[in-house]
Formats: sequence, structure tokens, C-alpha cells
Amino acid sequence: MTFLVLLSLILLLRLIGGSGPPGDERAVHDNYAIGMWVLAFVLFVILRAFQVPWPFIGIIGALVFIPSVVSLVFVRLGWVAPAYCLGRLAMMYFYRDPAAGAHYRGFQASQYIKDPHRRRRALTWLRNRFQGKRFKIYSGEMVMFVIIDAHLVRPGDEAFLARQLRCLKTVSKPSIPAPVSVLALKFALLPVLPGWNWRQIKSIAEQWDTPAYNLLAKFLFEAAWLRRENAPPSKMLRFLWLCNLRYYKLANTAIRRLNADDKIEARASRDALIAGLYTGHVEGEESQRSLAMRLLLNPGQGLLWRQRAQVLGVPNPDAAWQNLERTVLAHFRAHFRAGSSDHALDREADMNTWEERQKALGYLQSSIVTLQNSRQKVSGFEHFSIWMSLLTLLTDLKRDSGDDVLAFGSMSGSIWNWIAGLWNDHREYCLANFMARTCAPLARSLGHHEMYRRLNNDILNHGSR
Amino acid sequence: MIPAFTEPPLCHFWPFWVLELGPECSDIQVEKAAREITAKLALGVPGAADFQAVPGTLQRDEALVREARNLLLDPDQRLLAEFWYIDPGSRVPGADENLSSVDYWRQLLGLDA
Repeated sequence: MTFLVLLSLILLLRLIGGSGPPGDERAVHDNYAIGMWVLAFVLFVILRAFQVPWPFIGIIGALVFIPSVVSLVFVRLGWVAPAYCLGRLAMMYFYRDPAAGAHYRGFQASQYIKDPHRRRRALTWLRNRFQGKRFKIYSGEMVMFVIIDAHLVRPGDEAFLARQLRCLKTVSKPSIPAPVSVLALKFALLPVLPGWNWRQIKSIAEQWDTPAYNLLAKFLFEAAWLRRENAPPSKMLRFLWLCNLRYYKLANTAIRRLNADDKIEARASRDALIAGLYTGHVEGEESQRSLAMRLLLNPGQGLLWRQRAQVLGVPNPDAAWQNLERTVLAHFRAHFRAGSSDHALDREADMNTWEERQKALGYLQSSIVTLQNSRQKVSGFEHFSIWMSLLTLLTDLKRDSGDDVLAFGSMSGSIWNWIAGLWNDHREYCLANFMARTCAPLARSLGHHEMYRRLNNDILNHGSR
Repeated sequence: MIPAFTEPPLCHFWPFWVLELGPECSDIQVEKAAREITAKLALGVPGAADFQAVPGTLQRDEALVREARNLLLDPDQRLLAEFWYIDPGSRVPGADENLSSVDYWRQLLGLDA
């Protein structure tokens, strides 16, 4: 018996300690899973050898063999730590990344805590679990880190969380467990659903259509595609509708919108746009302006309103249409000028924001250098956390002033060294791959051909990590 | 014109709201509605001064009704009012009701424990 225990422990330690080949990002977790199953089997043999009663073995067996189900009890009770630990053991259910599964179960449990202070403490505890992590960081954990971090930094801000999740567009998908992918999809969809923008829904569904069969994403993607093609509901859509019975209200709404009359939809968006202009709720973005022009001043509208002018007895219908065009342009000019004059008045605040962003860039650059020079082993999540801050800053710069490429250019050397260090020294293949996928287009647009070539040849073409 | 229609630059549709008519109405209906509302205002019928608009319920008087009627009977102004017309119950992007629909979706997606 002692021999068996020792053998299993040695086997377990070897499996945990051994890192897989660079091409297989889940090798460590798979080994860990096998180790846990071996340990469970040995435990069962020991318990039987000591003639432990069957009910007791049953309880232990349930904890070890169906932890994903047992963890749901703790989720309902709002007990974060036990839900987290059992989620960690759910190798079958979260086989793509059990560590992400543990955080998923912990997060689920935290949502059942009513007291906001206790919930915050639970989320902080969960986030701290990332810091002490000894394994490499994978995509599923990155997604859970972003979700948990956003709930701590900006609780209740759905738009912020959705923006952060959009930053993960280039993350490698195979190691994201299906429940994590579905959760991320829901949070990404939340700010979009009230307006029901098919284009955005399609883009989000495409992002979270992971190899782990995110059926909700597949359903929404199929629906959005059919809508774009102006095709009736397909058999595949009906099958996916059946698969998503749990979200039947959302699925029914999608199908209803799929069949909705284009004219009614266009009228509704036109009315919403004018109502927004009237009450000052339209953002001064170029896309909104082009949408407005497309809705109000298209050739079809021109013909329609000329005919209407004739019916009403307007002496010169062409002049009347030109007058309507002038009013549209005048309203939009006034609206967007009002927006820009507000910015002009607030130029000092803009300057402060610009200075703050430059300071943040400088701080991030020094943090990257410190991380690279650190002699101590730094957790992959510290790298990921800084990378996410940099990514958010670049996204903000792109949105506000289009300066992201310039900012990237000023620190491309440090970023390349950082990625290379993560790949060669820390063996954080998944994180380095994610960073390289994000940086490659920026490097190309900047004309950094050498960096682009290296990112492609040395990292991205090493297989899917 | 009342401040709610002069302060924002976009106000051509207001005569329809004041007379509680849609863009498909005829000149006769405009005359009739104006007459009826003016009579109600003169008699002090409760609620006669209220009318629905996108920002909420607003108040009208006889002068405003007269102005609305005159504008809708002028073909050029009528065309402008029809072009910009929106239903007074239109959904306003960013208004509070949308926040509640985010809550609705949150509940529907099972994100609320």
C-alpha cells in the first residue's frame, strides 16, 4: 500500500512539474488532470483497503469525480473558496483550462453574495489567486482575469468590461473552456443588446465562437449572417435555437428581429437617431454622422420627398429637397460643432488627459523594463496585467486621436524585447502569442518590417499556441 | 414657440405633436384638430393643455396651437415638418429607459444571481 501511495505521488509530481512541448499549450494542465485521476484511483484503493463505509467513499468519490456538479452547491451558497477549489478539480468539465474553470466557479459564487463589501472581498481573493499562480498563463485565465478585474475596478460598468473583452480579440481560442467563453460573450453583448445592432452582434459572436462549442455564439453568428444575406431562417439556425433553449427569450428576439421588415427597422433607427439628436444623446462620432447621412439623405429619400412636395403643392420640388438637405447638414453641423466647441472650452482638461496618458505610457515603459530586468520569477499575470493596461491605453489613444500607432512606435523596441523574453526565458507561449498577434498589424502599419517579420517567423508561425 | 422647441436646433416636427396628429393627416384634419384643441383650452377642459413629446409631457396654449396650424397649412413648412417627424413616443438613445433594458438583458442572460 505504501508503495502504491509513493508511486502515485512520484507520478503526480513528475506530471505536474513537467512542462509540455512549446506547441501544446494545454500539456501542463492535461498532465495535471491525469495526475489527479491517478491520485483519485489510489485514494479509492486505500479507502477500500481500510474498509471505509460506502457512503463515505461515495461522498469523497462525488467530490473527486464530479466536482463540477458538487461545486454548483457552493456556487448557490456563495462560498467562493470551496467553489474555486472544486472548480480546480473539474478536469473533465473544464478540461481546456481547469484553472480558468476554478476562477469561473469562484466568480459565479461571488455573484450570489448579496453584500457588496463581502462580494468585493471575494473578488479580491479570486484576483489574488492569479498572483500566486505557478503554472503558465492561458487564454481562459486571461478572460477570467479581465472579467474579475473589471468587476473590481469598475463595478457595474458594462461598457468598460465589454471594451476590455474586445481587447482580447487576438487571444488564442483553443484553451478557453466553453462556460468561460459563454460568460465572456454575455458580458460583451450586454451593452449592445438594447440597441440590437446586428453588425456588432455578429462581430462579438465571431470573437467568442471558440472551438469549445459556444453554441450561443454560433446561434447569434448564424442569425447575423442570415440577416446580412437577407435569407430566411435555416435548418442550422433552428437546430442551434434548440441547443439554446436556456436562452430562448434571447433566441426568440433574435429570430423576430431576423424577420423584421427592413423598412420598419430603418424607420425605427431613423426615429431613434432624430430623437437622439433632438435630446443631444448622439455621440459625435464619424460612424454616427455617416449613418445619419445614409438614413436621411440617400437617393431613395430624395425621390420620395420630391414626390411628396409635388403632392403638397410646393412650387419647386427640387428646391424643396435641396432645402431639406440644407437643414440636415445645418443640424448636423450645429450638433457636431456644439460637441467640438465643448471640447475647445475644455481644452485644458484635454491637455491634462494627454499629459496623463503620456505619463502612463512612460510608467508602463519603465514597468516593462523593470519586469525584464527582474531577477526574481515574476508571475505571468503581472506581465498580462501590464500588457492589458498598455492595450487599453493604445485603444483609448486610437479612439480619441488616432495616436496609437505613434505611441506603439515610441516603444516598439521594448515591446519586442518583452515578447522575446516571455517566449524564450519565461516560456509564456500563450501570452507571447497573444501579444505578437496584436503587435504584428501595428508594426506593419508603422513600417517596422523587421519587427513584423520577426513576430511572424519567430512567434506566430511556431504553430497555434 | 415654447423653449423646448427653440433651444435644440431640431424642432421642425413640433406642430404635429402640438396638434396630436401624424404626418399622413389632411389639411381638413389639421383645421379640425386645431379647432377642437382651442375650444377645449377655452373651456378649461382638464388635460387639454398637455401634449406628448419626446422629452415628456409639455404644455400648449391657444397661440401655440394657432402657430402649429399655420405651419402645417404652409406646404414648405409642412414638408419640413413631415421630413423630420418622429413619433413623440420614440425611444431616446441613452435615456433612462435604456438603462433598465440593460438590466432586462442582464437578467435574461442569467448574469444576475
